[in-house]
Amino acid sequence: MKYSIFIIEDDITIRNELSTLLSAYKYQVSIIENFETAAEDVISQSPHLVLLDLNLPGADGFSICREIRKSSQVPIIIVTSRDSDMDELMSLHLGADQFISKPYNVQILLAKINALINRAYPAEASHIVRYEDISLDFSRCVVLNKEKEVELTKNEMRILQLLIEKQGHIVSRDEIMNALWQTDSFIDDNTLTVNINRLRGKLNGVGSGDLIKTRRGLGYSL
Amino acid sequence: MKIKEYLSGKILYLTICFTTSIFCGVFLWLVQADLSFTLFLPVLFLLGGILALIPEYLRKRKWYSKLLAYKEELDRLTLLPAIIDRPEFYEGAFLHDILTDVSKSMNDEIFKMREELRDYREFVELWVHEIKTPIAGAKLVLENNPDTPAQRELDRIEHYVEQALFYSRSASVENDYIMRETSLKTLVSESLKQRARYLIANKVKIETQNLEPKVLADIKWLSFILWQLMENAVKYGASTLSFTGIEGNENVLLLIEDDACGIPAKDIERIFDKGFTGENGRKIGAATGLGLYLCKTLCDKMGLGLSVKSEVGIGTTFTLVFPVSYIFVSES
Repeated sequence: MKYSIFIIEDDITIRNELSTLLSAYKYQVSIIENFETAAEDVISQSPHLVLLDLNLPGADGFSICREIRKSSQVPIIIVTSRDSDMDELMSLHLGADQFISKPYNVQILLAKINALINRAYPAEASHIVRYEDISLDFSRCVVLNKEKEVELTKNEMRILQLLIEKQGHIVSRDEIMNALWQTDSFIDDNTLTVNINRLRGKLNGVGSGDLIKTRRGLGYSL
Repeated sequence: MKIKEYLSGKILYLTICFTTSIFCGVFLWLVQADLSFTLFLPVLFLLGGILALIPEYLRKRKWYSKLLAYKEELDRLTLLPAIIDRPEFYEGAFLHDILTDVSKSMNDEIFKMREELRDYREFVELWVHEIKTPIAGAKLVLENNPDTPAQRELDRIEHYVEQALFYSRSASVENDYIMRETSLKTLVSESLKQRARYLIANKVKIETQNLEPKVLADIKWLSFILWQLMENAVKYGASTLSFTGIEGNENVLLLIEDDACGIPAKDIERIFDKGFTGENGRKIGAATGLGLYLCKTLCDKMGLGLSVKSEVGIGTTFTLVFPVSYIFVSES
């Protein structure tokens, strides 16, 4: 199922691009343009998560946050260009779940959205991602193909997940490394090659050896 | 004011006193006055002239030595006229009034500059916050159209914007940082994550060792400092960056080691000076001489140490020193 996210943000570039980005990651995105009724819209339409800016024309992010919290427990991430500790403290006191200051790291934003949604909706959260014949089970860190399964390391899991998320596109080596760095694994070029080779070997073991294709000079794709 | 100094200003007066006394003596001698008169009167005359100076000397000495003492004690000299009493003797009062006017105009000037500086600082902070929105927008555009080098250029723009913010903060007397307990690991990996693209694109290998020790620091400030050190290393050709934590009795050290070109011995003393670029900076041509100065200033404000060791052709090691605070001591 698709999770719905409301974006309450006045900067047009940011909200449109966020919407494109989140749609690409299979979220259903709605943009709120009337900030005076923003809190009511959230309450009446009950999205799965809200991204809220603090500086809005004609409204204040803090009061919107407070209004929402009066009658809803929806996860709220404050996304703002204010970066003082005071703003962060205020946001958390008013019931926001996360505080990210612009310009944020997109991978971190995605990870926080993902983590909040998984925690808020555990029953619906899926620990399994499927692609063609194989499925990735995040709770056990294994990849399955029919009856056969093989255990993956954290890095291998993350690489495969990224390739599945971006299926149909070529993912560059730098992009894969960036994604791994975001999980505290500061690997270099050689280690990445080793990781990819091991991953291929393991996929070979479950009968999907040719799943990851090398695009010479560009990167990898499924 | 010594007597000699005082008297040296009174030479003309004394000469006249002396001369008139002599004249008086000569006159008395000419009119054939009694010998005791002829000798006694001029001496009395001279004595009177000299004695008259004593109260004036004492009064002046008192005031001048007070003035001198205040001058030594005050750290803001422009306040001097406001503190010292207006003296009763004419020259002193006259000078005091003029000094008061001078210092008032000086204080007005300083006040005006302070105001301007504060306004300017506020403007820079506001501007930095404003510009973060379009930067965030551009980053998202690029995220949706990946694989352009523009991403990491934007990261650099972001860094320079932050540099402006920290520069304006470092010049202010207010200390708007918050020291929190954190680990070296958090500090290092947060800044590595934020600058991942730049470091990956430059093929930098990362090594970390013993980053478990806990320290007190402002995470945002430290992230800026670490990034500044890393960016310098990359700019001067580092291919490996290693981060090592060392736990001592009185402090925790974080060593940031690179294998870049190294800093010549003649430059190393001055690399934390404002505006200093040195031989390496001139070769690369993209040095402002601000980065390390800012690092040092921010460290000083937080009470952290920052030192450097380097060998040309081998590399440079920066050492951050975190004093072990009494909080940890009392906990253990």
